[in-house]
Amino acid sequence: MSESTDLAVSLGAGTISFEIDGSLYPQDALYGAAYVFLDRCYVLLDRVSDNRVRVLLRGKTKDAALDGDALAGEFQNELLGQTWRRKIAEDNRSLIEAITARALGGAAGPPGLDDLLEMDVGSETAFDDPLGIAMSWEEKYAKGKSDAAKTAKDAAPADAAPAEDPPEVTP
Amino acid sequence: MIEVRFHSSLYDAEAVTEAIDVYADFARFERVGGDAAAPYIHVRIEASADGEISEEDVRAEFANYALGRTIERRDGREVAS
Amino acid sequence: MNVQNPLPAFRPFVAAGAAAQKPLDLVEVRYRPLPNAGGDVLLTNPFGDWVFVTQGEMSALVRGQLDDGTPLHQKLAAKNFIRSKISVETEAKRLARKKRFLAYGPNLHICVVTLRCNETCVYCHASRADMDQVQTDMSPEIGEKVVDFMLQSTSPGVTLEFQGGEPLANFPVMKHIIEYAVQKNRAYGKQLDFTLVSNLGLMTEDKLSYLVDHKVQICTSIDGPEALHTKQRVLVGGNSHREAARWIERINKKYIELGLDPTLYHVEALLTTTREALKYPREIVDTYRNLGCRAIFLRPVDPFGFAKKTAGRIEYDRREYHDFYRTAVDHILSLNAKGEEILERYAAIFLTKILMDEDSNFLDIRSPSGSAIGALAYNYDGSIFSSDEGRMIHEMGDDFFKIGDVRTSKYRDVMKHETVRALVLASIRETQPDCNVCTYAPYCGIQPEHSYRSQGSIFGQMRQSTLCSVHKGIQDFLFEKLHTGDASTVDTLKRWTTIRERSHFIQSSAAS
Ligand code: SF4
Repeated sequence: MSESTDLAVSLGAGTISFEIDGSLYPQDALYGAAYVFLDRCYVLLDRVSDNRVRVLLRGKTKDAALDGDALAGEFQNELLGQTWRRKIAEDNRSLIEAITARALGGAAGPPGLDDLLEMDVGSETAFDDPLGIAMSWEEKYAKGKSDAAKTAKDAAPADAAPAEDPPEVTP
Repeated sequence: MIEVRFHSSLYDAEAVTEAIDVYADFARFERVGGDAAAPYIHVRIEASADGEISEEDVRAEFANYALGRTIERRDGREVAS
Repeated sequence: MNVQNPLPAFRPFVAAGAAAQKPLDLVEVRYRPLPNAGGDVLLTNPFGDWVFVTQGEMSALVRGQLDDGTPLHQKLAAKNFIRSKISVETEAKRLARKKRFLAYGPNLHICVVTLRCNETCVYCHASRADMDQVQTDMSPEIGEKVVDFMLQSTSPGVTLEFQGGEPLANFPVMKHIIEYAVQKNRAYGKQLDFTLVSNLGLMTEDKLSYLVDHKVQICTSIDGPEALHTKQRVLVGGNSHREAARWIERINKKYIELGLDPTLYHVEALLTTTREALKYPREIVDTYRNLGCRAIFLRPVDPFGFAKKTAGRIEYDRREYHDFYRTAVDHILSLNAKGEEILERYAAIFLTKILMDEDSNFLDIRSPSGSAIGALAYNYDGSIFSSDEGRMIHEMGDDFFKIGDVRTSKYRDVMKHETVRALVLASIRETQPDCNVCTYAPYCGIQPEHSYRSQGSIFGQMRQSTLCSVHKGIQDFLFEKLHTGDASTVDTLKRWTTIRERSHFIQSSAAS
């Protein structure tokens, strides 16, 4: 990071500015790092050249003395950390997908969260309700009402759930 | 009157529009230029005369919001709310 | 004051510079140096496992150093952090168990039987009406339709929660709904129970007998010591605190007379934490103890208006709330150490996920949130909302969370409403910026209505969200306590995760 980042430059009025080499970091990591500072700082990004992005940070609280170098250092650490974490996440993507698919359905079972995420929104493209949440009680279990509860138990995904709702915590 | 510019490779135009909507109560916003091919989105900000918030504060909050929404939209959260 | 330290300046990535590289066999991790954990760093994985590593160990990981056979490798392997040792089958089962609520529709059904209220509270302007505004009473016909609608839910268990206004102001209709629901449920056989949320100011012996006979669980509001409570909740011609306290005592006695275990069966009280309340952490805890309440829910300050959202104000709120929470819970923990059993509910919800690998299905702190797919709120006029907060936003003139009407909507159409879909998308933590890199994502949840009300978007920006800050602060505090390894504290925290069902309140559901 040190070779890619100019020294933090104070612009007065509590604002610091530094440049980073955009070719070394995924834009997602830059955004991720910038996002982390949105609560404490006003953050402005500007493109200096094809590969260089200038980051401007100004602390929100006027009374707190703004340590520009510390802030720049923290930003660098965050940027590198997000890059590191994203690489690990990438290595693990297929594992997480396999687990999620197995847990919440997928090809071999009832559809899961992924399906929820992929559904089209819009009044005509009404979503498909893969989890069966939108079905009425009778529709979902499609049996005589009197044994509906028993049927619900049977219909629960084998791995997933006892028929009872998880109760809330009580003392 | 104060101006802020957003590089279009770093800021999403829709996110800037959303930020203008959200902060419309605090200042008058005007997009300058409007050329789709231009690398920058320029926005002029004029705080309302009776506003309790300064132009500089509006600009800072507004730019933060635009960046936040850019990042959120990029993460696939385009559903309007 | 129990001040929270700022996060320590630990910058292993800057220190590693070009030497930073990914360890080859590590599962996806999120890391957080905790404010008061001696510099140690908390790691979590997407399955909900957690482990503390030292700064030295973290620095090694940052450099990609994770050789088989090293103590660090062993430590991480024992906690499910080594990819080659993960069983897809086992992890899938864990995830399925914790997310089993996704297999069902809403289980909590909030029925606003009237907007009329006998009290005037400082924080409740929009969603109450004066006692003569009888047009805001739910009619028996609408009440029946609410029940019909509720029973359509695919959830095998449903709770009908009466709220207002003050529900006791429309007691005849409440009774009608209870009797209609019990009768109608005979054909459905669902696990049905009722809850009443009341300020107790309109309670009478007759009403209480009816509620106890019909196994209606009773909840009330206590804002803290008498002076604070009565200042915030004005009861014309009376003392709101004394009224509530008198009835809490009376009801708890009644449960004992029925032979019910008082540690499990007692009036539940809810705190509305205001800025004023933040000054009295210990006093609030002691007020609850004195009333015989064994659980306190230190909910955060309500969101304030967007226009007033200035940075200084946010920081003020955050710091104040964190200090308040830490002081109050430290006090509760010291009482437990002396043998008194009392818990903080926010902590219990998180600890159940952190320590027990279980999700207690608390609707506002789950991912996706319970808005609409876990709970529905029915206004007195039959309109349906994704939550009670959504209904309150409607009372302020914004219909965003209105998703149907019991008179005209089909259950399926309500669940398929595009707002419902947006709410689900907006409340999956793993897909939100910031949450997707947050150490606490496996245990966290944000109600999208809160983000909408405080930030103008159901997605919200978590860095600027007071609720996110509260959740981070509470989880920091809990992990710091776990980090101490203090046996008595850890035992207490474990005890808080015990889930005991109040089976007495379940209506007999036999299809008779
Ligand atoms: S809401 Fe906040 S604390 Fe919770 S997962 Fe998201 S960023 Fe973390």
